[in-house]
Amino acid sequence: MRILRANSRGPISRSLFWIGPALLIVLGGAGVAYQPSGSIAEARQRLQEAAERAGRFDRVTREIKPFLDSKGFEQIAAAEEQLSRLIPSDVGEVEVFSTVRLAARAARVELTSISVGGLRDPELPTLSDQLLLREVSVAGRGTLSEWMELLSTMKGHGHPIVVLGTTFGRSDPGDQVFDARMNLGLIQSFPAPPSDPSAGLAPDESED
Amino acid sequence: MSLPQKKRGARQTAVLYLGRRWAEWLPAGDSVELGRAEVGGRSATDLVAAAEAACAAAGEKPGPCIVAWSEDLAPLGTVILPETGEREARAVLRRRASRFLEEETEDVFFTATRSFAADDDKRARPWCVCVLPRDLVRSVHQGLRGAKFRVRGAVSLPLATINGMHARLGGEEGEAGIVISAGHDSAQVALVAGDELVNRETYSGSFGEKSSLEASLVQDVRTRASYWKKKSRGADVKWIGIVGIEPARAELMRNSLSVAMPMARVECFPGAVEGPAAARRSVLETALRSGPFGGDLTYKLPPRRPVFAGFLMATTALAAVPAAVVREDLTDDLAGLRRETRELLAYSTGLGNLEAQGERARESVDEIIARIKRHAAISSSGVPVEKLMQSVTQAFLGRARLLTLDMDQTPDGGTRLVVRGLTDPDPVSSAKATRGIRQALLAGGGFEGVTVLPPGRIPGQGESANDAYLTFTLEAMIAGGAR
Repeated sequence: MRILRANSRGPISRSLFWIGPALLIVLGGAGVAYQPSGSIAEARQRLQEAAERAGRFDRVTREIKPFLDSKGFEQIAAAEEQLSRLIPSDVGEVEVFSTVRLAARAARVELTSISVGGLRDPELPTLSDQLLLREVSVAGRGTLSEWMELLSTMKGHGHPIVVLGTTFGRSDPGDQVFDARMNLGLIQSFPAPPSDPSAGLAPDESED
Repeated sequence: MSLPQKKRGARQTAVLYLGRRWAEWLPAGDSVELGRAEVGGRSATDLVAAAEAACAAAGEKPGPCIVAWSEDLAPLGTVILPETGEREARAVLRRRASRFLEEETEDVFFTATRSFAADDDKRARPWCVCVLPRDLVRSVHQGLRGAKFRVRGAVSLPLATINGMHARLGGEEGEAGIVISAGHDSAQVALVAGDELVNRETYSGSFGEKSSLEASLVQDVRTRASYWKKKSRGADVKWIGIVGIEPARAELMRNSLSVAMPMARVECFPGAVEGPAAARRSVLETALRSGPFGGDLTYKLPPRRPVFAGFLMATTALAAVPAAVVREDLTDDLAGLRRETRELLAYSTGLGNLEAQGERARESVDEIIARIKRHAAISSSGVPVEKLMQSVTQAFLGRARLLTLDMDQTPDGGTRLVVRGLTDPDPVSSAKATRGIRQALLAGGGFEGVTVLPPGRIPGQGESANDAYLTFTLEAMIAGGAR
């Protein structure tokens, strides 16, 4: 037995007539109910970020608090000042002459000539300042110990000195006095030059 | 004898008959009153008006009912179709069924039942099709709804009578039977075999003193019985049901058929003891039965607006209550999360300042370390005059006298030392002295190599004091970064 019917609407469309609107209403209700869920996800994300921030706050506080309590910044500033005093800044020729003369007098070295040359880069690291070297040539007479005294006196006056070369000589081996010439380099501090932004773009011609 | 009901003697639902000439209302329950009204026209409105009138004639108000369509409104026909899929069969049946209607329309409402394959070719099967114009069906149902009728279903009355007789008399599986049913102006003869309709025929006319319809029906039954005997290779028709004919006339027909076909069981509905009015009631009661021969013409109207609106409101309420509860919970959760976030942010206020201070401290310490390293680099650069002077004077002590001492910085940061000295004029003593100086320098001076050049000439008589010594030159190197 097989029966075929042609109704106005089939069972599927009849079901959809009821189910369709009901489904839409239920879905709408679900949408309304879960509308805050997107905000909740976002709020959870923000809470997690706030918790991470609070954790970081605890960690940084643990690290920095003792430093601040012990006046760490004051100590650092004092140390920086002390270090900066070790190197004079931009010493003029007159001051160089007087420094050498005073030191020679103190060391009882009899000077015959002093000449002050130009500045050159000793290729020391540049920090907040740049160090340059001023060449000074000193000639005179004195015993070896007096010459060493001259060097230590100058250093003691706060002039870092680099000895570039020396010549000691005497004509009479019985004489304690040496004629000497010392090429010295006085280290001086200058403001660091501004960084050249184009330096990194310069073509590398070292292999040409 | 009426047809059996679920509750004997009581109909569950009223039957509304709709024909081209008459509308009839058979009330529910055990009422024997049949309301009848003439149909004023051919439109749906006329049919609905007649239905209301018939209902009123029965003394009832419109209510639940089964609609029984007459054959003159819902014609029956046979369509031969090859065995095919349902979709294709439905399309072909729709097109062919529309031809049964007097009005040319493709938009038809039909039911089709596959029938007995009388021919030897089993690949082609006849279908019994009952068809109505869809517009008429829709309009009638809408009109009936408007008139407060609640239509529970609809059937084709001719097919319903076959279903009814088969349910009452159909015996073993595959048994053949014949149904004779009478209408207002026609009669039907149908041959069935088991659950399949073999063939059927409708005769116009009514029963009366001078009518030949009765004789025609008897002759038709005999012809179909012979046909079946031939088709089934000797099997007889086992039962004959007569329904809708006035009891006295039906009894005469039953006697004639019993004589002509002694192998068949012949029964009449209603029985002889019931009155003439029961004949039509018996026919209409078959509309309450369903059966294997189809005829279901139930048309589903869209639900009433209030019902649909109520459904939507109920659904909305059902959806809204849990939605509101869930939304409230989620909103509370959201507020809690936001409050907690605010507290944490307030707690960590000043983090940026602290981090900046820490960063500044780190930078300052790095700067200090770099300055110290740079200072150490200054101290270790250049010629180590003091150290070399001490090494040379220690090495010369008691061995030679120093004449000149030159110290120069080499390009790689090392130091080149050139020393000239005087030794005892005795070559052996001089060699010993220079060797001692060399070893002393190598032992304590940090020199890479110490080279003593050959001594100068040996001085003669009458030469200067210096000439009383041997001169020598010594060269030594200290590598850059070796200090």
